[in-house]
Amino acid sequence: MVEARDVARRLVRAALAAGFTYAVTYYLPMTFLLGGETASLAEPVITPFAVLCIFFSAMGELLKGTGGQYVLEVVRGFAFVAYFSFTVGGGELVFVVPTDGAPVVLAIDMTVFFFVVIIISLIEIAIPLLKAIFYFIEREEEELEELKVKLLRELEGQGP
Amino acid sequence: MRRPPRRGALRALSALATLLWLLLAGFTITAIYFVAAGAVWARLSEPFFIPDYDRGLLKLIVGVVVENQAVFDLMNVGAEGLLWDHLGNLLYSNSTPLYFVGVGGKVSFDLSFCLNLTELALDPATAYLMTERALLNVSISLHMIYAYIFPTEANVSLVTGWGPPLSGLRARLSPGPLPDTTRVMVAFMNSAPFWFKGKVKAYLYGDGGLLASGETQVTAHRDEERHLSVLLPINMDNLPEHYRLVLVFDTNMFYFTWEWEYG
Repeated sequence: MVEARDVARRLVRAALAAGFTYAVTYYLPMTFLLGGETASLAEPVITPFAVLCIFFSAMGELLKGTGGQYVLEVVRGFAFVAYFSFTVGGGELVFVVPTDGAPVVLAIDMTVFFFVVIIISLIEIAIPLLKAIFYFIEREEEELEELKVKLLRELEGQGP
Repeated sequence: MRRPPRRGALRALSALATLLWLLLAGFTITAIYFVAAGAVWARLSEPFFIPDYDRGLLKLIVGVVVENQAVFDLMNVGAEGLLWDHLGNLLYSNSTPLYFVGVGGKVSFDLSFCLNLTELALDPATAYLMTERALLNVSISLHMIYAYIFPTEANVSLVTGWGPPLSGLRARLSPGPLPDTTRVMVAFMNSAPFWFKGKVKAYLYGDGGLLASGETQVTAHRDEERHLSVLLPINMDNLPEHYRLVLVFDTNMFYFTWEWEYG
């Protein structure tokens, strides 16, 4: 019964996180920041980004406090690196902007932006890896502590 | 259960990553917002010609205006251009100096192409350009660094032709040989290294629209001074106070429209 309640709570939190992320990463930018031509140009970039954000925020809530959280965080880091790699192609975003005269081909070099994204993603990937390493170190330390205590007791039991 | 000091470092690292994401997202959204709101814009003019046929040069100029009303500077603003003929021969290339456009700033500059027509005429690959109406492709690349981390390039291709080689072009109206006619006297010198032939059409417009039109044939050799007259079926005394004369040179080498307002 407690487990079912916990699952239900996780599901509700995951749904809320997904809804909030949808609003922040898709609805608000597409509605208020971008409009008309700009929105249609930006949609292929924003939609997969929003899908990734929604997926990982929901999954993060579902797996919170479990071992799967570390795995998810590492996957999330690599997923965003992959997303930005695919989105910016050869490091360049290219749009064709229609004008009254000849169409203008607009190319934005995303190399620096992509470099910053990779740096932050690597930090994010490092965090769960460190967490996992620390987790195992702590477990080993606890086991050593227990062994030490046990050994001391045995030694005390043997007496002079 | 003791709390190892490593957790503090992990929290600091997480906070750093979150802070960096927020900064990057905020910076990027702000940068996109100002572009989408039209705070940064650039405009290219249609190519126009300044012929200096006396020296065998034809200067083709494209005006560029860049304005920045966003919150980030525009750096390394400049333009590069290539001029090709329709066979793919590169006729000229040029680039402008680099400009800095601060917040609230505006810069305007010209990208110019200076063609040496004598050289073009002597080059077997481009000599044909002296015998037909040229189709010149102008590829312009406007580049800048927006918001410090977004190098941006806008590319546009335009098609243009030869400019008019009409030195000292002038026109005036005089009474025609018949009572209901008006003569348009046109004078110019062909200062191009090529000769041309075609039609000169004259249109006279009043406030209510077209008043009269006429045309005549023209052939002009190199350095030849021509005096033409185009007869219009309208009595000169009946012309309104304000009127407009439009001359159209439709030749084998170029197309040119010249306009003058009277009154």
